[in-house]
Amino acid sequence: MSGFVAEEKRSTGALGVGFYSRYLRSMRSMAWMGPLLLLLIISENFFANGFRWLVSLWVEGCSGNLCLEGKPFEIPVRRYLAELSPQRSLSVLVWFVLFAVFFRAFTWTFVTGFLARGGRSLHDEVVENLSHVPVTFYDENPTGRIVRRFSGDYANLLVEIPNYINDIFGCIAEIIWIFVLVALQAPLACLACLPCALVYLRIQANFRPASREVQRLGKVLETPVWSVFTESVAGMQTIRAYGKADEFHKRLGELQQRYAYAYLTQNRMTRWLNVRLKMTSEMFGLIVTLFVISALARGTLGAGVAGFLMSLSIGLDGTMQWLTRSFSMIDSTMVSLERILEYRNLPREGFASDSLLTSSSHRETTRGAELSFVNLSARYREGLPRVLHNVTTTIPAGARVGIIGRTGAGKSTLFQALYQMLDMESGEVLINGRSLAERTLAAARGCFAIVPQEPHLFAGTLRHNLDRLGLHEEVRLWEVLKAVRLADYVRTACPGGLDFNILERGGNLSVGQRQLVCFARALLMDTPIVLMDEPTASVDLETDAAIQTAVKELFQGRTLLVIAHRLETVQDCDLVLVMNQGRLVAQGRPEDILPKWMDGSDSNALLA
Amino acid sequence: MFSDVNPLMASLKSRPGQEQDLNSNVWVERIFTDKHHYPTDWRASLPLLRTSLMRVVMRAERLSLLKMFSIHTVDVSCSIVAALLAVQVLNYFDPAKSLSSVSAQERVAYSVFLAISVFVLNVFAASLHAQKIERETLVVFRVQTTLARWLNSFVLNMSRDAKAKFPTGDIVNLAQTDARHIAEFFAHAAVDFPVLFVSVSLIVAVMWQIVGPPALVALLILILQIPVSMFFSWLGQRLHGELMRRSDARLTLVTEWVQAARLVRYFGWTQQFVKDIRSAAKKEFLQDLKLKGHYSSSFGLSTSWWMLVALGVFAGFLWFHEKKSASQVFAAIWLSSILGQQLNPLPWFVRILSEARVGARRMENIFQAKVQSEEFAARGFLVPPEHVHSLEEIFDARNISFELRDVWVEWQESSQPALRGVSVTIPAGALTAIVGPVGAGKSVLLQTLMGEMTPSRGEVLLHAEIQNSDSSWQKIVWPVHSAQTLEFLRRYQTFVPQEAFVAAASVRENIPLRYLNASEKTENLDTQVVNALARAQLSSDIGSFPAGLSTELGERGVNLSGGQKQRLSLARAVFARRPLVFLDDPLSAVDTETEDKLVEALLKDEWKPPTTVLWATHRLAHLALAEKIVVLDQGCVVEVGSWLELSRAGSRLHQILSSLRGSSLGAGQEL
Repeated sequence: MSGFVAEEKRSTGALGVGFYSRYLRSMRSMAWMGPLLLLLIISENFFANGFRWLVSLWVEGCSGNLCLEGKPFEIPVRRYLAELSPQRSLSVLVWFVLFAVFFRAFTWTFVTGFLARGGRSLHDEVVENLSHVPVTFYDENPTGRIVRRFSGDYANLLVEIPNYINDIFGCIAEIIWIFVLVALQAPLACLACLPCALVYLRIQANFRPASREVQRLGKVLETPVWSVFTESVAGMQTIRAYGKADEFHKRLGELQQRYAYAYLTQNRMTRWLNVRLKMTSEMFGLIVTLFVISALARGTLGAGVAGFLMSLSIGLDGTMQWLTRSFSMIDSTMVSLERILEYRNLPREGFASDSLLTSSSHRETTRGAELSFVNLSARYREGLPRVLHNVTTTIPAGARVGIIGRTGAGKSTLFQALYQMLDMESGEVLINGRSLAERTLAAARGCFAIVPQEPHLFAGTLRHNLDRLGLHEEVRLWEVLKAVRLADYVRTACPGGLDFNILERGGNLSVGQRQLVCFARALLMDTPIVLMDEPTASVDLETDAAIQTAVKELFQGRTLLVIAHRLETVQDCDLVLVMNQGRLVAQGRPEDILPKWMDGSDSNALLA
Repeated sequence: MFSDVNPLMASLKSRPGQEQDLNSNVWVERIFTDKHHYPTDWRASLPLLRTSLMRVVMRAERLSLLKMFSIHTVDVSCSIVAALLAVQVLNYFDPAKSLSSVSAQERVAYSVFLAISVFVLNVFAASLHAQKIERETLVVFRVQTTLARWLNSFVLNMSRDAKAKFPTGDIVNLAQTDARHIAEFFAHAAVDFPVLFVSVSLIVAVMWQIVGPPALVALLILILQIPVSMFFSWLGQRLHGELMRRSDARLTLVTEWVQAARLVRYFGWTQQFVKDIRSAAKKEFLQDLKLKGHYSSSFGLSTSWWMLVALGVFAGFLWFHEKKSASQVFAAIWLSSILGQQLNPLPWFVRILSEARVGARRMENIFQAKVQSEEFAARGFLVPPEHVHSLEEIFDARNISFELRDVWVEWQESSQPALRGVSVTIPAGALTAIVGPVGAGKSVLLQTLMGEMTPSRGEVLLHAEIQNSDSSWQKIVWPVHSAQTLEFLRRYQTFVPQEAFVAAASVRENIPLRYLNASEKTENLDTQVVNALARAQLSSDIGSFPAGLSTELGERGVNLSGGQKQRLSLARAVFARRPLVFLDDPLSAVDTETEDKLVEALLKDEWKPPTTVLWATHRLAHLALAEKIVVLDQGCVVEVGSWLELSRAGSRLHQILSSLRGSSLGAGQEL
């Protein structure tokens, strides 16, 4: 398999506008929700400065001529506050603050919740799409890699990206408000904003690319630290048997030191940023203060509004810092979105003609069906070498067929061909004379039941494991359990009976019992053809006997194909197929085939 | 001002960064050469690590913590003074306070001077603060990496029994999470918490000066924030726990679905899985929504708390019938903002303190486990003192043999005996096979000989010869289970375990188990590695790897099959060229053809006598090669002898063989 494990996508470079548009476009109803979200964010960010503004009007009251000559938009507020009794005005402020808190909480929840909902619908689309990709996809991509899309990447989509977007827009809105408020109160002081904004942009432009690179290096350098730590703990016995404990200890120290370079540099750069942003915001504060002093000296500004303007720079550096941070964080999470979108757009499997066929095409009802391979050649996917070469044979209805051959001879590939999981180069498979290609994928697969070599069970109830779709009556489930001789065990030893909870990978049943559950599952499917990959795992003698009997009795009358690992199994068969390197090299009755193929040393290899 | 990162930033502006870029930073070097006060090794402070780990860290970091405390106190004081000066500017122009004695021009001049001072003070405070934070991150890094390194080294020296109690995942978690909590506690809470007291009392005192008694109301509301945020943090943890459960439920489904992708399609269950996963995702989303609401309210409240504090002051004005003035009001706002910044992390301090204590306890717990040398000493296995000094002398490695006398070994996990009174000798310079069914105790026997498992009764003795100073040979008998003997054996033995160990490193590094620097020349090494690979029948496999010997194995590299891993492990043993070889069923995952080749190249050639080989196996082919066969069953030796003796009719081995021939033709004839 190692030959064609595909490379994984890596993060590169900075975010373009493309990212935001792809992200936002992937969400439904963004067209009308977008402006609403923006409106919410902008109003939410008014409150902190709005509070100071209100307080400044309140503290100044109508002293002097402020209620007559002040800014037109301020006069009604001033009058209103001045007319209230002190207690009433205080309660107005209290209500204002409470509303601010509520509105802030609501906006944040709403914005991030809405974006997260978009993430979830992407998740669902990925799940849907993965259920249709060709099954070889799962060979090319390690489980860990696929699952990471659903853990780390999805968590980014659900939590991180919505937060960053909320923060970015929030910070921008706050800066805009500061600008607007300054412009309204002291239009000249606006001049202060311009140089500060330029300096901020400059600092940002220096910081972001370098920070992104160092962060990336940090991640690259941190992984080996923990992998050496983990493997030296796990492989401790080998390591100390060779007397290499110090080597690994030394290595850990070296890797930590290499990681330290990235970690400490990253930190120092952040400190660099903090100091400069603080300077910028203080500069802004200073310039505004100077304007305020001149206005105060000329008497064109009240002390309250003056205080308000001077307090604008409080927390401004924090806002700028947060904005920069959010920008760089969203840079590093973007790859998550890319990876999820990639999985949403994978090509699907299925016959080209699938859409032409009705899904209710007829089901084989006969117990046992004739199965023929006609000149079948196949490969895992286009561009890879052939794994089946011109396989031609006919298996009569109800026959027991043993398939033998070395490891890698193409025995299990034959099964995959039946399940239409390969790329068929030429030839076809007929069931009762009708080609599989004339059926829908689901109907074609519905002709077979399979007992896999690994008795794989799923976490969940026993019922779930037998009949996940809930198609069968309870009586029928007990019937099949009885047929595989598990009914008594389930009744007595499994609390809950059919609702007995099976652990992940069937951990709380023995290997033999798991095997029997797999038989029951195949039996329940009631298909004309049963495929079976005989287990090689060692089970105790009793279970082994039970399994052998089960195979003989249970599938009586059905066409049974067995990949055989035991002499006994092959001897009992009606027909033996010998596979070698993807070719069917011999077929016939066991008494004809076996002596020829089983003499001397070859026997072991053929049944491997 | 941290301008020393300027060149790096400039160079990374237009091109991707490389690891070498980071080396250009001198201050990182400075940090490594910086004096800190950690003991050189965990051994030096083991007794203290076992009882009070926090004190070990405290001792080592106390100086840097003290420095951080002073810096932080100064920077907070600067911010307070700056706020006071800003208030003074307003004061000059406040109509309520008629400062008629000062002329208008003087007022402007004074206030401009004050404004500039405010600017300078704030920038100074920010720079100090940044330095303090840089020290914080240093402490975090130093504490965590030191603890992780100690833990790792300690585990590599632990007794096997003790190790069995700690799953690898738990140990990694200790180093990643618990060590981090401890580190964060020291870096942040240990300094900020005392500073908090200083700064809060300062600010309240200053407020009292400016606004008078209403300052008390502000203090009251501030303190009120503590229980409120603790409540939110408690609620958040509960909500988060439920979210994790739901997210795990979804991931379990996804993992099963992906792992059994073929089966799911075989059975036609795909759509059902899709439905289940979707509904799990929906449940998770709804919980996440709750959590989002919670966080938003909690943050919304804490970021707006300063407004409530300011309102408290205003209410105080009303209550105490004080007259409000603009400068007082804004002083209240400024100071409460500073207070708010100081108080915001308080609930986090409380949480990190408790997490650090839990983490420390967990780490102490693992450090309390016995290391091998302690375990041996406790059972009284010691090399005779007159021999200890001669360990470094020349040792005739060809003559190592073992003797077991009535050895009983128990599984720590179940205290079931795994070996019951085994008495047997292992001859020097020959192949000894240990056979028996699964669970007979073959591995345990090997591990006991290697000193990994310690017998509860009986003795395991090493017989060897050492050369005296007068070049005469002296026979010695040492107990295997002693620190000195083990250290010694580990220079002469190799071991091929049942489950091969593959390091996440290149093939070139995996075979010698030695990490290489990028600059190191590897030609000589390569020849030896290639030889070892050829002997272990891995040449063609490695040849097909994308980067040959440089192919990275493990984590992100090529996934080896079980058989390839075993052959890699064999190649490692060949490479080591040691006179004593322990093989724990290394051929279980290779096919019979390869098995034959391996036996030919290794047992018949590479490790032919006079190499001492112990070969545990449950396959019966090639047993004739062994000079001595030990048949184990249920922890007891049932038969000992040569192939000729044991293969005759009537022997236990013969019984096993003949019963197998009749019934099954399983792969390679297994017991």
